[in-house]
This record gives sequence, structure tokens and C-alpha cells, in this order.
Amino acid sequence: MATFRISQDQENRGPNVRKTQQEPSQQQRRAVLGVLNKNTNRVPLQKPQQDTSSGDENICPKQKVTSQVFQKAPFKIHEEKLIEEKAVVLRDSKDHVSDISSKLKSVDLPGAVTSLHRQPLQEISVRHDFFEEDSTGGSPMSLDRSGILSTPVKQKSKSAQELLLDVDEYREEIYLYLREAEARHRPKPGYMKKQPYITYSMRSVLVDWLVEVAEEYHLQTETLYLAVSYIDRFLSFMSVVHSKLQLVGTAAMFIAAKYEEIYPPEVSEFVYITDDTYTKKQVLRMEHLILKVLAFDLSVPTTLSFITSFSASYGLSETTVFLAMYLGELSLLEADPYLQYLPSELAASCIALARHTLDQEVWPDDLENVTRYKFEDLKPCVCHLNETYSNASTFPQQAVREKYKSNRWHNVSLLTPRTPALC
Amino acid sequence: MQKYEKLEKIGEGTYGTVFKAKNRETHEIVALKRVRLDDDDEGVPSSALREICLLKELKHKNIVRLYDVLHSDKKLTLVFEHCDQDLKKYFDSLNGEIDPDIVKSFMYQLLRGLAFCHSHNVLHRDLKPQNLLINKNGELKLADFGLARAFGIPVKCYSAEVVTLWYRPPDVLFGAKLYTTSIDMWSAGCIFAELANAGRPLFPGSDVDDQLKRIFKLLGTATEETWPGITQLPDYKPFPVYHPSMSFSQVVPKLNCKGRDLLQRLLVCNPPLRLPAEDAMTHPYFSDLSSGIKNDRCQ
Repeated sequence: MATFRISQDQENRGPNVRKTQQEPSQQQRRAVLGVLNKNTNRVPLQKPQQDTSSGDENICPKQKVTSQVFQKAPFKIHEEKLIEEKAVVLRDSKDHVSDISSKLKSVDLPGAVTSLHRQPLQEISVRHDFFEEDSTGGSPMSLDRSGILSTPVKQKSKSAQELLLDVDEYREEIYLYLREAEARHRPKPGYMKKQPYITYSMRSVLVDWLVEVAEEYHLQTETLYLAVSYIDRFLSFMSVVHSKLQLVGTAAMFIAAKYEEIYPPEVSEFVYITDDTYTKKQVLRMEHLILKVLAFDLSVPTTLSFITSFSASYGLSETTVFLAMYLGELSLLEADPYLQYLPSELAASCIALARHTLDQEVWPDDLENVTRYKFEDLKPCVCHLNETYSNASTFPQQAVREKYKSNRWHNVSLLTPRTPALC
Repeated sequence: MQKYEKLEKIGEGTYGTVFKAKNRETHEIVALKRVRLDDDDEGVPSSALREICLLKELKHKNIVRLYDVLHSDKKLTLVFEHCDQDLKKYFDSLNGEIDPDIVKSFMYQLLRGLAFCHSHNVLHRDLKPQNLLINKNGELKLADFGLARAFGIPVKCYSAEVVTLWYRPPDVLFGAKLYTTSIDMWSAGCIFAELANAGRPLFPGSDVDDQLKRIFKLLGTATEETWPGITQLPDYKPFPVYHPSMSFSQVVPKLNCKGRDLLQRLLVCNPPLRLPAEDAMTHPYFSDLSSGIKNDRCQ
């Protein structure tokens, strides 16, 4: 991965610029999700020579995962039986029922070839009908601001540039709104227990791949967070077979890019990054399904958006922000335990651990005022993060660590966790 | 049978065609915005994605309501509340005369809808009379969120290709990609003047240069002194030094002096100095606004 990364500001580049920078040879430029695809004949992206610290731990576990986890399973997305709600069958589901047997047979073959003519969807169950409550008056869109604290946020003096980009006038209201919105649009923390065909480790592989995809296509980090959020919310309601998990991830990233980016990559580029495992039509149909299941609720606050907004309110150093972002991105890899925490809570915890690591006062009063979290309340999350952080070099997935080794992010993933630890 | 019966075509939005339609069951009149989805295409357009998810978060009296979304393989249909006309058509029906109380009421409602967007971290980015809907009860609603987006704090770079030329602020005209709620406040100022003049646009420029020239002729050419950082903007180029040749009392003769004061606080070239919507709502210009409009709180 890192061998061909171009380290410069990647944000908001024009489409032309973006395209010209995707020149390296095909094998290199594509982030292959080898494990999910079972593309054993393909050369996975090589780790750069100099990354000796992480080199050998990465390869073996990844291969183990391949053989253990990605086994044959029926080719369908079907309704989750544990949720008893009205089932909505897509109009065309009947047309594809007959495909199942052929699909089952073809699972053994390399994904890129066999899945070309498959339809991704068989039948779905949508847990709630879109806008259903609207007609009865109680609206899903109405805001409930009850139970939200209203302590004023203390602010520090700011530079002229900060002033220009600040939205002081609305900061308080926006924070209250985002805290309410994050609770409204939230994945179910334990959804994986109800997924018969996929596991936490498969999800980690998927997220790790999306980190690489975001890097290669110069997508905003926020786009990555949004995609992971959409994936988790989708999987909270739909059960997915392993062979379609990458399709869910790809379509979620496509949606997130359209929501967040100025120049989102075209759908063909998303087909390309899956190594043509799926067709354009499949990606578009999965987009359709995700939008339906998420009821188009795509405007959701993320851990990253809270980290940057806390930083703007409090005035954190760049390195602190980058380290907090690195911790936040590591947490994306692990649905368990991190889905149990709200994005704002996770953001505050990342900042606390980053400050501890950089030998700063962990949780000054002003940070408590800005975030409205007391350190004691963050402790469980901080402890989990501390563990994740300490073990990051031994993870099978290394894309996040690789990303944050670059100068652009002040090489924060090369910092060693501070001892004594916070927990 | 289809749920809605199409009655007539109303117009074209940023993306897709808008129809007036009737709910066959309830007979309620609605507006349908229809987007074709082609297999060869890019799926749901990002403008539609953003419009849907942002409007779902913005439920307010002064923001058009999105009732429903019908999503099939071939098309995407957004079902909106129907309003009788937009502000542009309303202007056309005026024959150059407008009641000052209506100006005040519409302006207040525009600011209130905008304050709601901004406090829910949404920038509209395409405010203009065509995108403000008016109904029989004299209510004004912000519509067409096809260019809208959520903003972070602090804001990041966004597209500079936003806002219809006449309502585009000078910073964006100079190619600024970092902007925030002030982008909408400039447009609100332009619309305020247009309201006061019963539909005569304030800065009907023919291109970016002409647009900036018209702005600087009224407000005086912006300089590093009046607007620190202006010369650093991506598309900055120096303009002749214009001194304001017309006073605001000539530009908006029918607006009282409090109204002119409000207008001047909105039409400020330097973005952070533009009055935010919430502050504008408490401006003395609105002190005699009928309490019916003011207290008619949101939602």
C-alpha cells in the first residue's frame, strides 16, 4: 500500500487531478480484498520493505482467516428471522430465485468470474417502512431535544483563520442537534450475533480494505467513517452472506462518497476496486437496497466529525488531533467493543487517550465543558481504546497503521503508547 | 394503481422534473420531483441523496416538507408538500408594487428557515426567489436542497460551483472553497433587496466579472483593508476602485431606514462580518412585525 501512496493534501482535489494520480500499474493501484474474494491467485498489495515493525505479523493471520472464515454459503441476502417485522419483497426477487442453484455451484470459483451475472438480492426484510409514521402525525423526522444538557460551551480565543471558519453562532445548537442525531441513527451494538454467515473478523477485513480504497482514491476520511456507519446500520437489519459483504461495503462507500465528496468516483471505479467481483448493476442494486434499509438517513455524525469539532472548540494541537483520528480509525476495525459507544463518546475518549499519550493533561475542565463528558464516564471506552492502541501492531489488518505512518498525519502511528497506561 | 395522479408539470429542479399531483386516496395535492435512474447511470444522483437526507432532518414550518420517497429501479420520486407558487412567480404577478408588511414577513420567514438550517449544520447554497415557495397563507418555505450540504465544524473545503450567479457572494465569486453559513446570508441579502423592489434583482450580472463589478459599484471595491485575505482567494483579481455611487436609499427606496440597516449588514463582502440569520431575526427592522408571524413558532 504505502509504496505508492502520494503524500500530499488529498482533500477536495478536482477529478482531473485525481485521475492522473492513479497511474501506477494495475496490480499496485487496486486495493485487492484478497481475503473476501478468495483471489488467491492475485498478488495482494505488498507492504513496503521499511515497515519491519509490522511486516511478519500481518501475513500469517490474514491467511488463516481466509481458510477459516470464508466458507461456502448460500448466495443470498435474506430477511433476518429474529426481527419480526413486515417483510418487503423486492419486485424482481422472483426472477432470480432460479439463479440460486447455479450460484451455489459457482461459489468455489474465483469470485471475479462467477459473480458477473448474479443478482445480489433475493429477498429482503426492511425493518421499518420509509416515512411510515408520517401519515399518523408522529414523524420520524421530528426532533426530540429532551434530555440534552444545555451547559454553555466555554470557548478559547481563536486565530483570525479559525474565526473565519467557525460557526460560533450555531455551535451550541449544532452540538445539541448532533448529539441527538447520533442516538437516533445508531447501529445495534450486538448485530453480529444475529448474522449467521459473517463474523467480526470478516468485518475487520472489509473495513481494512475500505481504508485502503479511501487512500487510493484520495477520499476524505469522513467518507470512510460514513461508509462504515452505513455498513453497520445496514447489517443491524439485514443478514448478509460473506460473499456479498464486500458488495455491501463497496456500495456503502459509493453512497458515502456521493454524500460527502465534491467529486465522487464513478460507479465503474467502485466496480474496478472489487476486481470486477461484482457488476455495476449489482453495485447499483445494492445501493438501492442500502438506501431503502437506511431510509435515506445518510446525514449522520461520525466519530471523526466530533473529533474535529471538539478540536475546534477546545483548540487541540495538530498532532493530538491526528493521534485521536488514528485511534478513532483503529476503533472502526472492531465492532466489538466499539459499537456500544456513541460516536461523540468515542471521539472524546480518543482525544483523552491521545492527550495522555502526548503527555498532556488528560481531561481539563474545558474539555469536559466542550464535550459534556466527564472523564469517569469515558473510562471504559478509554480502556478499550488503550488496549486496541497497544495491540495495533499485532492486528492482522494494518491499513490504518500504514496510513498514519505518513508525514501528512505526523507519523502518529509510530508513536509508542505511553507507560504507565491510563488503565 | 399509482398512489399519485399527475396533474401538471410545474418545472425543473436542480435534477429531475417537478409535477403537481394528487394523492388518489386522500386527494391531497402534492409536488412530485421525479428523477430517472438508468442502469448505465451513476445510481441515485448525489444531489437527490443530499436533498432527501438533509430534508428528512429539517422539519420546520419555513422549510418545504418531504413527505415520502418512492424508489424503484427506474426512477426515484420525491413527494413534497405543494405550495401555490414560488417567489419568482409571485414577483411576476406584482406589477412592481409590494406591501412593505409582506416584504417584512417574507424576509423574516426566510431568515427563520435559514437559521433552522444553519443550526442543524446545513448550508442551502442555492437561495434565490425560484427556490422560495409561497402558499396561500402567506407562508414562505425554503425549497430545492439539491445543492445543500451538511457542514462540519470547522468547515472543510467545499465546491466553489454553488449558488446561482446573481445571488453568489463575492468570496465564492473569487473561488473561495472555504465558506460557511455566511454564504447563504449574502443570498438572503440579495433576496431582501429584490423583495423590497417588488422583484427587481439587485445584482443581475452577466458573468462573474460583471457580477463582482456590480457588487463593488454598490458597496465600494473590497480591499485587503476592508477584507483581509481577499487577495489570497483562488480566483482573486484586482478590480478598479469603485466608490459607492449610489446610497442604499436610492437602491431600495421603499425600504425604511431600519430595513436598509439590516440589508447593509447582510451585504458585507467580508464573509465573517455578515450578520448570521439568528441575529438578523432580532434586528429592529422586525420589531413591529405582527406577533402572529413571529410567534408562529416552528413545527
